[in-house]
Amino acid sequence: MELRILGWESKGMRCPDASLSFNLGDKTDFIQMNNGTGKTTILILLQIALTGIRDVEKITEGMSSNTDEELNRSAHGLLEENSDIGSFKLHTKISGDVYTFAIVINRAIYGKDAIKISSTSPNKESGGISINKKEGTPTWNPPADARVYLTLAFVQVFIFNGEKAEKLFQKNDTAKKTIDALCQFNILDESKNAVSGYVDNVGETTGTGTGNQANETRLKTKKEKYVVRRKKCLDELKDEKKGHSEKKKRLEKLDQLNKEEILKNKDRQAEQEKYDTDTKENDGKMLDAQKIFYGQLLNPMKISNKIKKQLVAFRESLTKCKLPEDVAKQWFTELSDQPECICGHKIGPQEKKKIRETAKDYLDDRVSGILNSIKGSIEDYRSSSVDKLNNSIKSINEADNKAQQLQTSHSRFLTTIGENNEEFKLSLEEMGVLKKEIKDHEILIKDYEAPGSVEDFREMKDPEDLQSIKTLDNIINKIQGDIDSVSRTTGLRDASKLFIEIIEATRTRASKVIYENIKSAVQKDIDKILKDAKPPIKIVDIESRIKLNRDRVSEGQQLATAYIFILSALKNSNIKVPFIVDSPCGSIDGVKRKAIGSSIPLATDQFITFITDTERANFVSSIKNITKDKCSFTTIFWKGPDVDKWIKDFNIPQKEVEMHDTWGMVKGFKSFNKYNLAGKDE
Amino acid sequence: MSFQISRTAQKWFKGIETQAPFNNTSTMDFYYMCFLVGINSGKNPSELQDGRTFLAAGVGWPTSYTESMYTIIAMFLESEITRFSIDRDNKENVKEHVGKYIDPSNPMKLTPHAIKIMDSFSFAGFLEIQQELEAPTQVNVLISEYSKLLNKYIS
Repeated sequence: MELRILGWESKGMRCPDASLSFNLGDKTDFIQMNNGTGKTTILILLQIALTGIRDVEKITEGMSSNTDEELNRSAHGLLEENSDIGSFKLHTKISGDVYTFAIVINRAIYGKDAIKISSTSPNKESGGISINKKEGTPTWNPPADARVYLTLAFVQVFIFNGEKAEKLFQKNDTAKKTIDALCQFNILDESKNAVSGYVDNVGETTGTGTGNQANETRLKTKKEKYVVRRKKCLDELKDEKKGHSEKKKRLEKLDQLNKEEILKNKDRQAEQEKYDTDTKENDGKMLDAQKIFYGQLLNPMKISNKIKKQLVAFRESLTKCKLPEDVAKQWFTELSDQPECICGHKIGPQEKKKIRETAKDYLDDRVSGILNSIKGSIEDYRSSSVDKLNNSIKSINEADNKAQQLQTSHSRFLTTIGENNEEFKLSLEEMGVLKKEIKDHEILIKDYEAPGSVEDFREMKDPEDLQSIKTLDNIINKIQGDIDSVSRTTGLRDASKLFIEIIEATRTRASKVIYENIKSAVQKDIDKILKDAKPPIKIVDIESRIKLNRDRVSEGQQLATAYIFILSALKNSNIKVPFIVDSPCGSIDGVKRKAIGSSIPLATDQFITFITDTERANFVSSIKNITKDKCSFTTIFWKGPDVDKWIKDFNIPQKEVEMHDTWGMVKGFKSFNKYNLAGKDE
Repeated sequence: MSFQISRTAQKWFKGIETQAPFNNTSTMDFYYMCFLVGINSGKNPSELQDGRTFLAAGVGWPTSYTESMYTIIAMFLESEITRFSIDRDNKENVKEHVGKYIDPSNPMKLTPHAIKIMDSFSFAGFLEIQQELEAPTQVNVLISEYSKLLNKYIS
């Protein structure tokens, strides 16, 4: 990831309404602003833009020390006193794509909602645009490869306040956090959290909880109950089928014997044959009548004249209303996509919108198709006559009566035979019982073989209340799926534990190597830049803070050491970010300024520094020298008589000066170097 | 979404569900028989209680109904036009009405709203049948009694 600041524009904020742009070829951009001209506001806005964090207090916490009472801890504090709305746009280049981060602060809104942040990019494919669905506006959404680095911890490493360098030496893990942020160890922490979160999520979505053994056992016990019930149902079905088969065979046998008995006598034989023929014929009539009834019932056009009349009227209503229409919605939709209308006129955006609005008044072509089918079905039976349901019912009743008559007469016939034949009589009685039992078996068999019930499956009915083997199968399969999920969750949890152990071991080993490298590099630079320190300054440890061999070092030595540390850490990182520093020199003396000035451009491709005129000596010249003048110079000031005098005294060309109502800006090294109004603005 | 029949209704018809002519699509037949009574009796639809889906998901009308499904839908749409006193000559009103009931993307060709109302009519019809007839054990008896009841409303 490579991040470069291209410039920013500010309006209505507690800093000049300036528009700054930096050349891609420059290695250092000096911005000369005295205290009180809004540097801190710009630094906060830069951090809001780059991190997307709208909580100003959270940002200033990382910037401040006990002496920072002047920092504005609310969004409204960043606005110019008389402004109701302020805006700040930060133009950047991230891994080759141009991104603009825009901040708008509204005084009418309180809390962090007062701040709105968005990121946009002219390159739509870069993925830098995300739309707030509720408001339809872009939101803060830098590209994914940059996003992981744009955390507050990391941004506050490369937006550095020289006045706060002492924090690196205090027991607050600042040095450790700096290295962790630069080496992106937070990604490892996020990976651990993501893996744990994923496993929890799998447990939650599959309803398998934490995927523990107890859960698995509970499901297995539940499944077992259904398996036992299924086996019982299968056994019972087997018994029912066996009973059904045996009784049917017995019935057939008895029927055969009875028939043989009947056939012994010619008269009886004739009567039996007549009964069989009449019954068969009557059954056929019954079935035909039932089929006619069923067929009539299924088609409303055949049920009654009343219903038929209503349906014909309905069809006529549709026809009268010209439904379905000749054209459907799709016709207009397709037309709106054409470059020109069927009449030859061009279809522009206005026309397209109108055509699409018109489309809403027409039916979908598939709805039109259904209406046509409805009309067609009614039309098909319009001319056919309606046989009253009564006619088929009459036939059914006649067949039913005939069946009863045949049955009664046959019963009498059989009883007559049984009067003189005890065996025949008993077999008739047994056949009656068998018929009833066979029917009972059939009902039970049907229950066991019933198709799966969606509701019983959904409700997971108690196994003892279930008879459908198919439903039991479905439930057993579902529980088995849950068991598999729990086993998978348990496996996942074990794997995630192993993953976290590997990550932690990697981090421990990597940080040891990185800390040693940085420590050794820092010591090397200290030996070079602070060679005059007596006794010599040695790094003891950098694991939680920069611990030196000496309890007392001068402010200048401390700031120099802080720079050396951050620059070494930046060199160890595989990403390129600008190094933005407020008050770069502070109390560093001339010699060390020169050494530090020469070192910074070696560690970063873009060094942006907010500097005061008292910090220029030795520092600026050394940077100009090492960068071969690849630097930009901007001086920003509040307007006043002193400024007018400065412009006149030093013969600053008017064309270089950009004057506004309350503030001014001048570009170029000469005016930058001549500015001597330190303290006048404060 | 598909049709639902009340469990009570399904149980009430159990005695004849294996008998011809109801031995192929018995539940749909019972649902439809109840619907016919419900929609023609002029009674208000009754919200379905203890309903259960009986057709396979995503399949649509049973084969024996595919020939007549459009006339059944027409009978339902016509009944709803009457129930809500919709102006039959007003194209926009009729079109809006049709739009509420027809869904070409649903295999039943009906919107969930329409299916719910059909279920309610079927349940109202069942309550009427249950009140007037004995639970059937013989198809012939049911057909005879049922047709007498239906004839009350359609002749």
